[in-house]
Amino acid sequence: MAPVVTGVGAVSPAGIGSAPLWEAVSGGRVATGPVTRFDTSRYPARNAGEVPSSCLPELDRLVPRHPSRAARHLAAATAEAVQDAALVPGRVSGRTGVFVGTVMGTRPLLERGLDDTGLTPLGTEWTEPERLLDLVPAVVSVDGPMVLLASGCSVGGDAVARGAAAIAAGEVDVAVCGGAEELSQEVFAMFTALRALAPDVARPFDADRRGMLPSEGAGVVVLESAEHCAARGGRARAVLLGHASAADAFHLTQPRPTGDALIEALTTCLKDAGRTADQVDWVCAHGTGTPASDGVEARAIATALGTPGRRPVVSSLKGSLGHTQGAAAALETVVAVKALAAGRIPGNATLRRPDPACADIDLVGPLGRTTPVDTVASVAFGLGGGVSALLLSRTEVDALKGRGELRDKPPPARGRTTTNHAPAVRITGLGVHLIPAHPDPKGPRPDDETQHALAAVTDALRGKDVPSGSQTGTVWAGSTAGQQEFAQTCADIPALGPTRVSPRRAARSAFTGPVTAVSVRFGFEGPYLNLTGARDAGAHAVAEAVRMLQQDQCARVLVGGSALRSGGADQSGGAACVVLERDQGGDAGTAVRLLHRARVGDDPAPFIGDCLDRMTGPPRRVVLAAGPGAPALAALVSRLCGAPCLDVESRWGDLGAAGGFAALAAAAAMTARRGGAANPRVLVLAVGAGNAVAIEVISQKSSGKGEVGNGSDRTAAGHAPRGR
Amino acid sequence: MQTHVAADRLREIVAEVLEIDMAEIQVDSLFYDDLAADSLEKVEIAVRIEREFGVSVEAEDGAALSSVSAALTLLRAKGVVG
Repeated sequence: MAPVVTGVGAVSPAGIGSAPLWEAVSGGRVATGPVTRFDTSRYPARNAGEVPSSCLPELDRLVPRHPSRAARHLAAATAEAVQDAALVPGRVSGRTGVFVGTVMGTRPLLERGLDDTGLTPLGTEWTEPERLLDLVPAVVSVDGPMVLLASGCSVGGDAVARGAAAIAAGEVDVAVCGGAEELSQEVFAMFTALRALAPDVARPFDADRRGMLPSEGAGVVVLESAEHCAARGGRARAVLLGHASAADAFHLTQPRPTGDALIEALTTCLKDAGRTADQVDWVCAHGTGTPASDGVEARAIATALGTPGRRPVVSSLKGSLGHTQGAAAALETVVAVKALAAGRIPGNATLRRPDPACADIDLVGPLGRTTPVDTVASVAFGLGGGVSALLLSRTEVDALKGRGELRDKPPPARGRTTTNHAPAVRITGLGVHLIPAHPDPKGPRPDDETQHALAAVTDALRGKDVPSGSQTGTVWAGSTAGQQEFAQTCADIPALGPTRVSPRRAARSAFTGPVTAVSVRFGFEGPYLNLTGARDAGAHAVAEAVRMLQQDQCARVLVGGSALRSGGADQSGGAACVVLERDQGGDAGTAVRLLHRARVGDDPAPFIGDCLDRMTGPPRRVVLAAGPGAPALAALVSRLCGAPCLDVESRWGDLGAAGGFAALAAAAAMTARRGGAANPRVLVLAVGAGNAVAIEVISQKSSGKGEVGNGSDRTAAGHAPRGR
Repeated sequence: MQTHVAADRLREIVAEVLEIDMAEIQVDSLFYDDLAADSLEKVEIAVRIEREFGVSVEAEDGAALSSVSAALTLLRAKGVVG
């Protein structure tokens, strides 16, 4: 049964709380204005969205101090959402997970060292994206997974979708889902150099639109299983009828002109929800105000949702709020829930002259419309080509009440985990590319993480017929992608002037370089997801990919991780990936099972005990990624499991978020070794930032079909330079 | 600056950004149609021209920046190239 939304929370340029947010967007108020956070005297366009400085005392009252503004935005929005849902700490019977999206995470902390004369790096927090979640456990008690996503500006929708997927799998009962961002000077300089900033306000879908305005904030929704909501007497505000993700697979910054991915995502949402296009009362659009993107979106929405005699009703909130990036789709979900409750559709706050090219959609005027709203589609896309779509309904809540499913019921019976009974998923390809000690001058540049990712994927796909198109998804994990580009762009701002930073380098300064390059190069148009954080993130990537397959979102997923570490003149790191496919039955090969994800305290022994209980048999080996704490943990794990434990980073060095993925890749290579199944069952453990993820890798007797090749550290031959 | 010096420097910039051989770039080669550049690469070329020649390329100028020869016209209008 579809999950329900039981609470919402927001921080935005309209202020702290979902009430000022709703007041601004439903009243058509423009909350963007001149930047106060940094000196804009050298910038030609100087407006953006900022959480007003007058809100700081309230923020101080609500949440602890933290160097990252985005972390504080997230915590304040989470606190409101949890309170709105009336989830009383210590009285929540079920399991709670957290799913958060961001574009830049904590990277803007580097800008604190920026002045007119240059850049002085202060501290390392800017390279630790997991720090974005630091304050969340202070405002909500979490015992399930904490997952950090960084898929570009569509990521707020992905966070809601992954929370819903975890509820559907029975992994959690409550999912706190959201997105968070802070205004970044690096991002501001990027859009300046791209000549994509609006001089005054963002005017989505207007004939006179001149560009977007970067902004900041956080949006959070509490999702619950309908059963859990009923059992605790919670109040459902909306039902999440459907969610979908797709990839443009076209270009780093340009949208595919046909908008196929958006059409696919909307169509999938309707199909999953059993709804028709004419039942969608409002589309909360992405509409940033850039000339190219809005036109593509308007046509795609018209194609997916237009019916004879009825144009889809559309507005973008970005004229009012600016583009809050990682928070955008989450804030739009909050507004969608409010619109369902209020029977009111917020308008396009800055619309004056609708673009004739958008004539096939019904653009709502600045003051909005009062009308019954039963079903809302919320869509988002981002640089790199990720698209997410959500479908929310109010009447479905009434229907559930009518059927008694939201009345008081005894708590649902809780199995240890329902994932054990989920369809099997197999590894059908493995690719590894480590930076060679003596790089080929004609090969990939050693400092280009994206090229390593492409080389690993080329290795995994060699000799295989992996179809492009919407049945193949791309899931990636890493914490270093874009890091050098972010730092160099920051250094260039004082050195070259903000209008002269490299737009191409800046466009690669988020976490999405590898996932975008893989989906574009190989034409993978299925679900698109990027994860970051500490060591746990790489294993969360595998978990999300497995779940996408089990829940029939696509037929196969290319999942991988990459890392780049520079120490003086040396570069180390590389990339690894596997192809995961739904079990077609009968084929031998290597199966992957998600065992358990949870918060772990000082004593990880109970978690490991749970994992052993959930395995199909005792592990022959354990592979661990746990960062600096790995050696001590490895000894404990080895003792508890009665099997040798390999610390994956003891061989390959610090891999950051990719460490959790490297552990899976190492396990896949162990189980696939030819000449006898020396390690038929391997436990993969990834621990980081207080989160633990466990995956079981099992080798079945091979008949030669579907066999996993040995990974190697060779440079992928046949890796083609970009074609022209 | 003399026109042929500026033209060679512009061809170098285009070759660097598009990662192609300078010999492939004629003065009249169109960035989009002949050299398969995309919009991100074109704006990168505009920024490199700004840096190299110390001029500012406004958004409207950037739209007209379709070839090395168009860039020369712009630099003449800005008084950088004789």
